[in-house]
Amino acid sequence: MTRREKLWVLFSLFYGIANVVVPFTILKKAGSFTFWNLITAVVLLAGVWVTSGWAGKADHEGEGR
Amino acid sequence: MSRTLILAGIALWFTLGSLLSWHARRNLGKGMIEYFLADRKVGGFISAMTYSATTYSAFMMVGLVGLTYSSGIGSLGFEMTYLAATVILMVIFAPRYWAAGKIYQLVTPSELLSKRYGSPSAGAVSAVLCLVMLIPYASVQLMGTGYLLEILSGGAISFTAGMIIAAGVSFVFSWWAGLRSVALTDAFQAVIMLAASLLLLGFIAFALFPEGLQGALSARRDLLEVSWSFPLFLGLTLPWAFFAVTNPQVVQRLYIPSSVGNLRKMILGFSAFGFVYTVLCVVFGLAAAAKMPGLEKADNAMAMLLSSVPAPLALVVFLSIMAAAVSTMNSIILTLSSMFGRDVVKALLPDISEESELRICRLLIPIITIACFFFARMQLGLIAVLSAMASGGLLMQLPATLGAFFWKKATAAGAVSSMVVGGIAVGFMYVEGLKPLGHWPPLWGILLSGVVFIAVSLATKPPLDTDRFLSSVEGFVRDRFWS
Repeated sequence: MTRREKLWVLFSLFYGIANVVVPFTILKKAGSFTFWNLITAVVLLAGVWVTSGWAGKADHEGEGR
Repeated sequence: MSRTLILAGIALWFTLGSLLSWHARRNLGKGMIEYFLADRKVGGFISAMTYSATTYSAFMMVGLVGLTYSSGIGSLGFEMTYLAATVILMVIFAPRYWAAGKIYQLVTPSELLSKRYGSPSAGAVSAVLCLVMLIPYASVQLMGTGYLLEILSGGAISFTAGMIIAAGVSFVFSWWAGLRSVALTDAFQAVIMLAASLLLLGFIAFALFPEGLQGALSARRDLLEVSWSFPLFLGLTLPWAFFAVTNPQVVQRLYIPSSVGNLRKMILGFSAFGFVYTVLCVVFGLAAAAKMPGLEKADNAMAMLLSSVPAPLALVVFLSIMAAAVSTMNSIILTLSSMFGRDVVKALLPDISEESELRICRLLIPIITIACFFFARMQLGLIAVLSAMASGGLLMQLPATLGAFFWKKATAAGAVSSMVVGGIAVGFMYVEGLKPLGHWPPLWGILLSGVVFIAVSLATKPPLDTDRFLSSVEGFVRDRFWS
């Protein structure tokens, strides 16, 4: 695993804990709708960032789109 | 909605899909990789859409809407956890599957286990587990379409007729040109799913709730609270969180993008689709709860919501649900047929020619479709149990999959025993209705499967090729993705 992948795994663990603990404790009565939308959006945007180096790789490989 | 209108809509949708299939067939070459993986030359957009349409079944617009209707936003947490977990896993596993697929010319996900563990039995057990678990799951797609058609047509189109239509369409889309046809029609259907949902949202926002949905929900604050128990959340979420590496119909799609850039587009496209579609389905559930509380059967919430919108819009939304069901079903059928051919038949007859292997696989497409139809037609209570345990049962492949990529000491005996013991344990607990200490079977199953995998692997010798497999895949991934 590369360093970036290890960071991604660590980030995922933080996400996994926050994703359950926050809605089931402090936001149990209200706010979970927004929280779940926001934390998922953060993961998806982090995915855009972490895979940013993959973009345009096809050009180097000469493979078709 | 009138029978004529519904049938005209289905005919139009089927005609457009068939034209796409016909177009796909013109480019069809020869061989297993061509038929089941479109020669690994699929572009980013089509990859993203076929992944999305395969993942999101009729469950979203029927089951998730009903779940939200009855139990509030716990369902949003469940579905969003699935989405985020899928993206997290794809970033780690998609490059590895893609690399292994290219290096070892793999066709099915189970074949990777056979190759890695140096034993055809590892792939064969995985393939059989998938067959047992996914046929009921695919059957439920047919049943959902049958019920929905019957309800929306006021009984004019029977449950059986609805299932025949869905099975027929699934067969045509998958058999005609394999993945080329499935991927193109999936993309078409994904666009229908998203467009129909956005249209329905527009109608809900401007016509059903002109004062705003938030205001209407003020009388139903309970729906915005997390009312799910933690064991329920864990029991439902755990198997689905690992869907991206345990469900063969989506894992097989990791082999198809033509380049690293297109694999990324697939992940990002799926992320965007999944986020929007999930939020929309949850909003529909909340809207139905605010507009028509007190339904006896929560799964009827979408059908009831459609009864309060204009017929043309209801038709488009219905077609989108049917598209979701068919796109999931034809992908499952295609993947299962490839697995049976490659991982079971080829394991028994290693000298079989590729041409004969493909002929057997193609023959299996109608057989599996018919099996799903008859399975669904029985309407057994057992189907509900089997489909519920499908994701839990498939989860038992997780230790073997993780070990395949990340644990040098993992062995074929460990992989096989973990899948067999875990699969039997989960099946037994579901059939008997057991929930030890209040937790659902998948949790106990994965713990047991993991322990068996580690213990048996440590007690047996890893295959000689382990280092070569791991270093070739890791090297490829490092060079092509992360350098």
